[in-house]
Amino acid sequence: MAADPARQLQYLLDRQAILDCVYQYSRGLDRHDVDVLADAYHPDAVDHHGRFVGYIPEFVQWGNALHEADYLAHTHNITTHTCEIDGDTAHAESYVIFVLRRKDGRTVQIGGGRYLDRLEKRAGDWRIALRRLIVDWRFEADGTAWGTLPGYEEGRWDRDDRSYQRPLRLRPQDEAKLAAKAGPPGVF
Amino acid sequence: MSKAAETRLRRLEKELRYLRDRQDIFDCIHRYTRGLDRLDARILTGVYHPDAVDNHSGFVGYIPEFVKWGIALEARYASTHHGITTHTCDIDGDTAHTESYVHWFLRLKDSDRVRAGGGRYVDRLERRNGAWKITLRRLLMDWQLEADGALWNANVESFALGTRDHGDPSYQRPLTLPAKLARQLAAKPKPKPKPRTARRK
Repeated sequence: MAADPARQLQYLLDRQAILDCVYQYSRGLDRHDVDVLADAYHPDAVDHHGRFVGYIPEFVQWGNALHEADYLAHTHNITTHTCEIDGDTAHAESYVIFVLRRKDGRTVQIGGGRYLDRLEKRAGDWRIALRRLIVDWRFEADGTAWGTLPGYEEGRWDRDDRSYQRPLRLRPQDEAKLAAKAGPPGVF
Repeated sequence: MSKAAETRLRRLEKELRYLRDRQDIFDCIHRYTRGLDRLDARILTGVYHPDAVDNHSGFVGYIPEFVKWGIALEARYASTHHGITTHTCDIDGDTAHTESYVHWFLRLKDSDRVRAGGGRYVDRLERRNGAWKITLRRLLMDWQLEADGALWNANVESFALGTRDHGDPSYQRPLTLPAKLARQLAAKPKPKPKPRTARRK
């Protein structure tokens, strides 16, 4: 390990910023939030996804339309992540498990692939310059277990999704349920 | 430098060292799944110390043998995908103990079936000459399932496929588009750059 603490600290900050950028893409996609999604890329960045290859303003519209056409909800989970930094350029490979709930309400599609990214640090910010998606496997499974767990709040594709709330609060009906209960013992 | 400033600097260095150790250990665990999925013996061997031991279901042995055994096992499938998720790590000096959840998805050859499973890599790692590598790995399995993967073979969306050699785009430096896609892109207008504010810190 290099002995210079300032360099080490910068390396860790860079690694964290790159992983945050990769995560931000998934979050933007799963919330259909074009601002969050586009912000993961530099303005002249290129994305290649299946039949699509092109620039980001077109890509974010294409991506959202694709997901709205057939699905009710989806998550893109980032797992294995490797990253090499060379100055202001980085190469990252981020595994993704995507799970999509079909509009028929009966089937769930599960797939796995890898985002291959060339990222660049410009004006202090790491963003994607080129992304290529490789898909490794897919299958469809019985999704009829959905609905057997009542009471869970479903996600949304707008800023009313609970993940945007600051500070996070309970829903009014849950606040009411909580108010009817005896408080926890001790410091409260 | 005052005594207080010296103490503060030493603490900062220690904290920084801890973060760097955590990152290096995490990278080592992730390199393993990358090596396995690309059938890359060099990457796989590089995550272990030379005297390391691996215990994978019925297999227990040293790394040169393990790498051959593991690659032969994975090569029986059309493709494999191992994902690391939940990860915990205790560092005690130059030794670390980690548990890393893994799920794998295996496409059967000449079939529409996909096999999936989940388990945990339990590892003892050591730092030698500054490099964190595995000295003992045990795989514990938690679940397995088989599913219909006909969707895959249809590939109506024309997703790009990986390969298990150095031709896989994950090895390419710098990453570029293949010629056919570059031509497709050339037909599109480039977006005009808009001024943007720096990302919120």
